[in-house]
Amino acid sequence: MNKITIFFTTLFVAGLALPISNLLNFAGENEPIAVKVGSSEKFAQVSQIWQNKCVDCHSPNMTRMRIFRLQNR
Amino acid sequence: MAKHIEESTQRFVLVTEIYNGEIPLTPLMLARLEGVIRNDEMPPVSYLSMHWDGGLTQGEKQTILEWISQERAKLSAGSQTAEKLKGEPVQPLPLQIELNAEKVVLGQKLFHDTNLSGDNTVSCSSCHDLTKGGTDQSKVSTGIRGQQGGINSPTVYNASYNVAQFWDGRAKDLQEQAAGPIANPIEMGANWDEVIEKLKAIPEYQQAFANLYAEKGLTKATVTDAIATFEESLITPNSRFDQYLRGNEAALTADEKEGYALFKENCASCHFGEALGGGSFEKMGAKNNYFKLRGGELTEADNGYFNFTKQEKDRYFFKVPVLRNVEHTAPYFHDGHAKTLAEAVKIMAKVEKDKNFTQAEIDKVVAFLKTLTGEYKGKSVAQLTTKDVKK
Repeated sequence: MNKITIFFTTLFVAGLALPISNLLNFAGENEPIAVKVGSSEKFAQVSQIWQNKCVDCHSPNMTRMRIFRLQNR
Repeated sequence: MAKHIEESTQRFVLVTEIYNGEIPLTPLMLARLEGVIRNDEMPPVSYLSMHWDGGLTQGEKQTILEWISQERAKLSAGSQTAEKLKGEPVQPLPLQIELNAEKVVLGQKLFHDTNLSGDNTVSCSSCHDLTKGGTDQSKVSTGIRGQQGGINSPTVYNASYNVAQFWDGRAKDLQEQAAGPIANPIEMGANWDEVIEKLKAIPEYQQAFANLYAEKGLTKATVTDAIATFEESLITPNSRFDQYLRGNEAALTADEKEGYALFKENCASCHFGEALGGGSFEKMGAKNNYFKLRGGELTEADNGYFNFTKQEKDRYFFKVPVLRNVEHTAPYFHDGHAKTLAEAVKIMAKVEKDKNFTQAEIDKVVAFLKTLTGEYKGKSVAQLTTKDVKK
């Protein structure tokens, strides 16, 4: 097996390891959680950031991506 | 990735009631959130490799940091902190606390009484000397018959701010802690029944316990309750840093303020709150292996919180020590390995943050830490004499 074959095989295997749906954001979104009445505007913004950027790793039952659900079993 | 998710949910769990604002974040969670945002630690590279748009923008980071500051300001509403500093991760110790004064006096007497040890040579104050920052300033403590313990004595000052007691958290509160060393064969080596009999033979104790514990009398529970009440009184307010937090800008020098800025960036996610610590258990060597750096054989004490919980995830975790009066509590860490504050800061930066602090940075953090020396009974902890602490 020459170096070029090894290189492309490695690249192919690495590519398979990546969950393409995650990269392309096909996995969907959670239903937005509304903040309770009386919360500050700033908290509403923070909650939205958490729901978009933190939910997959910090909310075990709310992960959006299939790969995380599988790993959280 | 699975391991990362498991760790993530152990350190910071977001449930629906947090997302919707019904449950506020605790000071510990606010400190951890601030730490990862300030240090660009979240989301981790492994997550970003699979979520190309998953990173936080500068605007989002700023929003989170501003909100954390607002939340802390709400928590410290009504405190003596200057308005503009209410959002800080550290707050001043109260100048006064309400306790039963007679119990404090009784507890103080018991704390210094060698009758609580098996051979009448050791008292609580032998290892928690109030003239030595509430420690014995030794690598490990010495018990009865000169026996050496396996761990460094933590300070008793401000110990009421600890989430649990002992380095490994095996005592849930000060009262439970007070009972431990008395019966430990290599510490005070006493038998509780014998201790009670000895104390009952002292008229002064008979009278005090009859007055304060009319129903229960003089028992292990009432002895430890009195000691715990005394220990609750051991707060050390009015340090220069507290004065700064209350609005006296001139209380700190420029270097000390720069040291505080470095401290906030690198240390305050664990050393937060009034006592600058005591609020959580953290891994000794979160980023680099501390025990490899230290060298030598691993000891049972090195297992930390694991020794209490028996859960593998808690191995090498320790209760974060409070940093009040830290200038006077050397040597540092559970094993007393770091002889100086500068050495302790350098090691912590390396093993907890994977940073190689420059000498200038170390000097500034140390300068800040030295501003944390407070007062006990109106006198600087640095200047207390035996007479002061027994009066």
